Amino acid sequence: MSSAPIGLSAPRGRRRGWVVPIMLGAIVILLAALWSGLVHLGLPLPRGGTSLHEGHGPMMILGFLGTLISLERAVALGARWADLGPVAAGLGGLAVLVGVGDGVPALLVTVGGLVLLAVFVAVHRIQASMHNVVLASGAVCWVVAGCLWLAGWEVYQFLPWMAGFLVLTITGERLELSRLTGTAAGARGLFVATASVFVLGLIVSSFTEVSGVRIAGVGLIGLAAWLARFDIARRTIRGSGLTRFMAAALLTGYAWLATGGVLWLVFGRMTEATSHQASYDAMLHAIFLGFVISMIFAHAPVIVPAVLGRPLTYHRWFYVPLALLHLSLLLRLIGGDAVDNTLAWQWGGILNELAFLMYMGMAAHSLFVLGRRRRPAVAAEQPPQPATR
Amino acid sequence: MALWTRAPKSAPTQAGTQAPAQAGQSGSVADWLAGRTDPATIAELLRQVIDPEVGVNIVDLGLVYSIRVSDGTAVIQMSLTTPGCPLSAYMEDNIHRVLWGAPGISSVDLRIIWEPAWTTEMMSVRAKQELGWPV
Repeated sequence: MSSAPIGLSAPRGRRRGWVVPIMLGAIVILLAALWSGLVHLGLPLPRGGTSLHEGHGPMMILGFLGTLISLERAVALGARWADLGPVAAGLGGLAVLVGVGDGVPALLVTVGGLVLLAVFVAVHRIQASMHNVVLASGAVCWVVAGCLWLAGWEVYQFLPWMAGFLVLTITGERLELSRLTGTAAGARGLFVATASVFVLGLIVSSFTEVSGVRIAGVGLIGLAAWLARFDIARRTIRGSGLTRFMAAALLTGYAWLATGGVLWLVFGRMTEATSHQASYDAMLHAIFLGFVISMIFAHAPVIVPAVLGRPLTYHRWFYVPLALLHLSLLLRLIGGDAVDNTLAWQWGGILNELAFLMYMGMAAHSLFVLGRRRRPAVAAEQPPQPATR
Repeated sequence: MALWTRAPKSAPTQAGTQAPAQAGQSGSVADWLAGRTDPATIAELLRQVIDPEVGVNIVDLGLVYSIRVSDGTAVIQMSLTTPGCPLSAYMEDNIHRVLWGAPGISSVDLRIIWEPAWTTEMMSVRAKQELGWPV
């Protein structure tokens, strides 16, 4: 594959006009889902429509994160048809927000998942690899979740599949990077075995909930242990600058993945969820906030510039929202869910959202203020290499 | 026309230097002042492009396969660790940025290729050392 000569000042061909509106749509979905989250925490705020209230999970996972993940993959592949994925997922999330009739949001996000799956098929045809199969399995989980939603299942019934989408997407990428540390074939085989246990649990959970969730929990614990042992973050945490920040966010995220796995194994039940059912709250947010959002914090400083084409300058203050995210999650799960203190649970949830918004604000400041000021010196802003050991 | 190519394998004696296989001449201050940038100098500039996730530059990672300069265009053949790499556009941007202002280079022809497929064998010894390989 070759590209035509590109002038130094010319825009790169793989980013098209769709990117900015898609990103803006994703941010709208995120803000709506965060609002809905505050309502779920019991704050005296306008509730919005039933669709918004019940759609908190699908909006965050398939609407917001689904849009971002399929967008980054579309930009990476550089094929126009791949843009349909984030467009469909974004429209699906917005459809939940505005309360479009039954089935439309689920249909749209399912289309988004199918397009993402097609992206991985296209990548596989260029260069086949195990990690790409794992990533494609994550997209299959998205499609299954969308189909179950479309079939009228309650959100908590297909939540394991939404978790499967994110867990397999993230761990598949970590499997790819683990090659750089010389991971042996045996270790890669161990990953596949562990991921298979997780997927088996997802399948079983659709028929026998408690057994399936527990099996999936064992898989989550295994994946967390594998990442703790073989992931490149163990090496890069000794580096500096952005590289070290990313490693810190990754490693703390793995601790939450293990915590989530233990909770899934112990409780095994997601049904009969209420607005504040302690085990349900802990089982979901250990994974979706502790693990997934920590991964988002880690990757935003490189993925956002890749997607938008603007430099995002790393700053050590990024550690503040990262620390707030993890500490507030501890407050929520220990002070709130374990001790059953509603005030601690509410404050934990509010501070979770504040951490996310603070990080977004810092990223926006870096993109649009610092990036404009320092653009001529971008080359000098590259993170320093980790110290040779 | 000078050509820089990646050393076929990372040899212990070349720790991270990746000597050009067919370089016409090495880069120098005189060349720079005279408004010329040769492929070896471009390779050195590309060492500023760091995979932030890994903390190692793309030359030591073995992702840059060859560099030549033709009529003011730097023609760079490189690969990525995987075709679906989300960082590909980030890498492209940073390659353009580090080459911005290099004397005699008015454009960049960046060719992402998948044959031969990138393998860890292409990493330099220095990169492997930094990432904890027993080398």
